[in-house]
Amino acid sequence: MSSSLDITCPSPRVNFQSLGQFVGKRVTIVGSVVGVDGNTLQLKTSDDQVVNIQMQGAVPQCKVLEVQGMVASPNTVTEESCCPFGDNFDMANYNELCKLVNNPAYRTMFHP
Amino acid sequence: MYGGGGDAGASQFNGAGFMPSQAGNAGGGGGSGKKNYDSKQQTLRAVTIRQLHEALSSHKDDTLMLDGKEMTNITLLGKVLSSNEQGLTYGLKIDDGTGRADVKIWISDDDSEVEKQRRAEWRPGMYVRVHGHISNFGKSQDVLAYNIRPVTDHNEVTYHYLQALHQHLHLTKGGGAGPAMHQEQGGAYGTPPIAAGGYGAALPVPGYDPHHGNSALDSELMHVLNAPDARANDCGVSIDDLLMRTGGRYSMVQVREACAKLADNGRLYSTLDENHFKTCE
Repeated sequence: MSSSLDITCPSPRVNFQSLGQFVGKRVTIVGSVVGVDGNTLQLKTSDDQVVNIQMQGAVPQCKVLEVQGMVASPNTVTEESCCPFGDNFDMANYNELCKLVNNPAYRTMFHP
Repeated sequence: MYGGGGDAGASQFNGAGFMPSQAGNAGGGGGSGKKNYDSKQQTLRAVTIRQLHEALSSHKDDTLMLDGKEMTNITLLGKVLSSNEQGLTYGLKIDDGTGRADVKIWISDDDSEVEKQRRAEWRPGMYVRVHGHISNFGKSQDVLAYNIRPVTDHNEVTYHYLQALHQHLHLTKGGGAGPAMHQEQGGAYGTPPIAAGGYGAALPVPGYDPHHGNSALDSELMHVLNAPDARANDCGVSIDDLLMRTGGRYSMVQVREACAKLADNGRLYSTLDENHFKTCE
């Protein structure tokens, strides 16, 4: 029976701390935009570290941005798509979520 | 079945009342016609696409199980990747980071402009909240939505994942109604229900050991009951007075349980009703 669900290309939610485990893989990362330099966007993660995002398209004007992309190095992500998260997004809560999602006890609910 | 009266933790997953008004829309989707659903079993579970995949790949007959419980209605949250309109259904592909799912919703030719406008809001790149169920329509298993709405406050993304995790842990680790109920019945024989633990149970108060009682509270209660004014009154002392005269440092539950225990031990007895006590000493 065919299913309309596909779990072959997950993009786990990460903070800076867990980003390093996913070099060469897709992730989802949410952060505050702290700077833009050409096609590179500096995103401050929920655990207060800066990640460089290589943007493919236009850089959206917003305070908090969610980026899906490929992890090129422990502090560089190549963007595939992004979504503005408004300006009242609670980073502290999100950071706790990132820790839970990557906790070995619970991660099987979210990614392999 | 969970959702038994006293278990507040589980009752929030009980989607009773969700289905009846929606059943009409989903009539063509299979499932709803085959079974006469009991509203008590109409659960609404928040799940990740990965969890749903796991449930679907292990299910055998008509029932979809997750964490050992039957799952009927589900809620998903994800980013729209693409959309398409095919005859009577409108399809969305959504990605929640754990996987991708095709979601369908029935539409009709005479949908109002408002409905069409609502669908136009489900644009690729936007987050949507989906309420629906799994249908075994035709050969494929689809997520058939009752309702889809755009997410405007993105804290809902955090919320959805936490809710899915909370429900998973509740059902796998604690708060099952069965054992908790047993424990509560045991309470009549001197074991307070606090020992039941689990998510839905009352929170134990720090420093209060239900198995050994609280000797400080016990002696304070006995002190109040042994006072001349309490002895002189035929009705004894009401539980409200006991609560007040122990200085507000204990909860009503603690006072009530301590009294029950003292009564079991033959140190006091109830007079007018179960809320008035007199000393036996």
